[in-house]
Amino acid sequence: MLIPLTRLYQDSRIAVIQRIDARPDLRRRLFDLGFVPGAAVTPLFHNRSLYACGIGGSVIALRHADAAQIQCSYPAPSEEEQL
Amino acid sequence: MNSSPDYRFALVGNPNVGKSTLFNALTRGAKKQHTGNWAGKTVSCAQGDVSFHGKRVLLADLPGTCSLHDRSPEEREAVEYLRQYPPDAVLCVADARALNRGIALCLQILERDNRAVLCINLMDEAKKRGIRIDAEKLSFLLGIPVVCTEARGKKGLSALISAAMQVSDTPPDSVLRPTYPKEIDAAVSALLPHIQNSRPRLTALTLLQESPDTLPAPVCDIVKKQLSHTPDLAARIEAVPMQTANRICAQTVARAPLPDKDRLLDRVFTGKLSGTLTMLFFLFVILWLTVSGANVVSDGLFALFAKFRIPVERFTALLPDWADSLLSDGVYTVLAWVVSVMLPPLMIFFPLFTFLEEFGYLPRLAYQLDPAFCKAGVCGKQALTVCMGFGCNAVGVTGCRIIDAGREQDIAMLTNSFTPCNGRIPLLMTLFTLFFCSKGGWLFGMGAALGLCVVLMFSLFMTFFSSWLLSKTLFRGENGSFTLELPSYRRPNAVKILTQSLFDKTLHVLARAVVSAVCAGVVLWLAASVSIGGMPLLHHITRVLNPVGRFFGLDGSILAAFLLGLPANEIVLPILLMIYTRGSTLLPEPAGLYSILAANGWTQVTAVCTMLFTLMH
Repeated sequence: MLIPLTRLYQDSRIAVIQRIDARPDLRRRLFDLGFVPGAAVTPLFHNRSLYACGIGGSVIALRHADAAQIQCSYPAPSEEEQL
Repeated sequence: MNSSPDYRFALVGNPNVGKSTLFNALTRGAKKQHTGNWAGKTVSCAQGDVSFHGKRVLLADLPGTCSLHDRSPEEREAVEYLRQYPPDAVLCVADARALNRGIALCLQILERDNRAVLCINLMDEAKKRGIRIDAEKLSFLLGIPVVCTEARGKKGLSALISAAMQVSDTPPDSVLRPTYPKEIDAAVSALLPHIQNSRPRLTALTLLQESPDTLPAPVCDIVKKQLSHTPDLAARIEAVPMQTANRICAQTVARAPLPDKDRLLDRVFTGKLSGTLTMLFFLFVILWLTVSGANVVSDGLFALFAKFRIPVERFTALLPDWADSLLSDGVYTVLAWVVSVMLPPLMIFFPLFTFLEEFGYLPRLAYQLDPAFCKAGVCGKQALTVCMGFGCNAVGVTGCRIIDAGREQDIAMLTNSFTPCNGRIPLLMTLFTLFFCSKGGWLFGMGAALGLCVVLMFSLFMTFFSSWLLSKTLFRGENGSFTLELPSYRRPNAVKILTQSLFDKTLHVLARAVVSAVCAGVVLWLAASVSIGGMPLLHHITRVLNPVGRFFGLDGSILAAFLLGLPANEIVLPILLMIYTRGSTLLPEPAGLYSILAANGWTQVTAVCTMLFTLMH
């Protein structure tokens, strides 16, 4: 089941990015920042417009509309140990 | 020095990995690049010389890029530079704390040229955070030398240069290529025979990514057959460098969990209530320290200038009468004023501001202010350009490049003028202390700082409001996407703060102020001395401007001062006093300032109007 990044903040568990639905220019930028399929993402904190998450050792804040286009899933318990 | 260099190296890397610090350390400050703890500080190329074991190396510092697609202006500049002046070796600078991004960029560089060195910078920070990097294994996997550096501690610099010299003399023959999914690899192989240039693989990949439909028909069919089961081809190709980098990192980087201290600070700075409170607190403390500290220094400088006046007058007395009057009455008075009123606040304000910048607070401020900017229909990064505007509006406007081009950038540029820059802050400060806090003591400093806070909040509000207005009228559009990186906190280095803020910024600003002060002094002296119809020219000017000034709640003299002070706002107040005292020889003490202004009909209302005019013109 795919969960948008913005919905991960309810319980701040680490998730794995599966797909990015954004338009090409935004998608490329997200890739550059480390938001690629297969990468682990940690939801950290958010306010009314920005969602900050940990990705590959850095902390990046995204606008709600952009973060909603990053589709994640929770890893299976066996995978979780690797992350 | 004009002989051609033995080697040409280029520093390429993600934004905010310490390229500029590294550049400064390598060139030993031959040409200082400003550095700060947020992305996008370097906006154009800088070049510097390094001599190493008798060889001359020309080093170029390219703006930070995340990848080598040419999309943003910085990226285009970096790509363009690499294409036009291919360096003998590329030093790919990576942040040890976010190595995957550095490696992803490095992989893209390696697709163009084997002669590269991966430089893992900020090793000290990484060690502090419990990140261990197996550089040897990394070097083995990538096929190029990997050098760990600490640019701030100047460690690993000579190893870096010698590694770069080594790869440019003997290019590594096999370097790591990103591993593409099988079907894409097959499509690339099918394309290769049809491409005749020096980098067929790169060209093939770009073709597949951008325009697979424009391929010649027979090739197109093969490729299509190979890729028939691959939806969003471009997305899959683009993700590969980063995915490969993530895999490499998984093998070479051991990472401790994010430090609690950072998390705690973030919770304070970004909390709904605590974030707003800390923001106001920082603003207040900075202004308070500036106001109360500046007064002390300012008095001292005044005394110093008064003392020097006598020898200066003795010297100018040797010159013809007009020159004597010009130099001592015109130039010296304005100069003394500019230096002693404008220098102290800058001297205190800039280091404090640089401290916050180094600490990493500014991106949190941007985060905190983004909901408001979002409502106004613009980008939260505008908070950063507003902050830069405090330093200098010109810097603020050029800094708008960190915002993606388009309407949001235009708005940020236009509204930057609402931010009071360093020239206007001392002016606001002096007026405020004079008219609203006549009592002495520390309480008075508090009051003045509080008042200034209100003034600055008002200017911020005007920024929001005008941004909102612009985004609803002239620059209509959707809220664009934007990403904001929140770098981990750094302990600022006191020496660096002082040298950077005092010697670079303060002196730079002061030099500009002095130049314009001297010019204005000459103009003023002329206007006050040349008479037309029995009245000095200056009187004519102020009389003409008077009705306009009255309309704004000011008077003609104030308007004239603003007009003359247009090139540099810091000289407005000195000019104004010159006008009021009609170029008299006395050097007014700060205490005497109030009486002069009051004598010319100034009230608190005039002061408020002047302050507003300062903000808005």
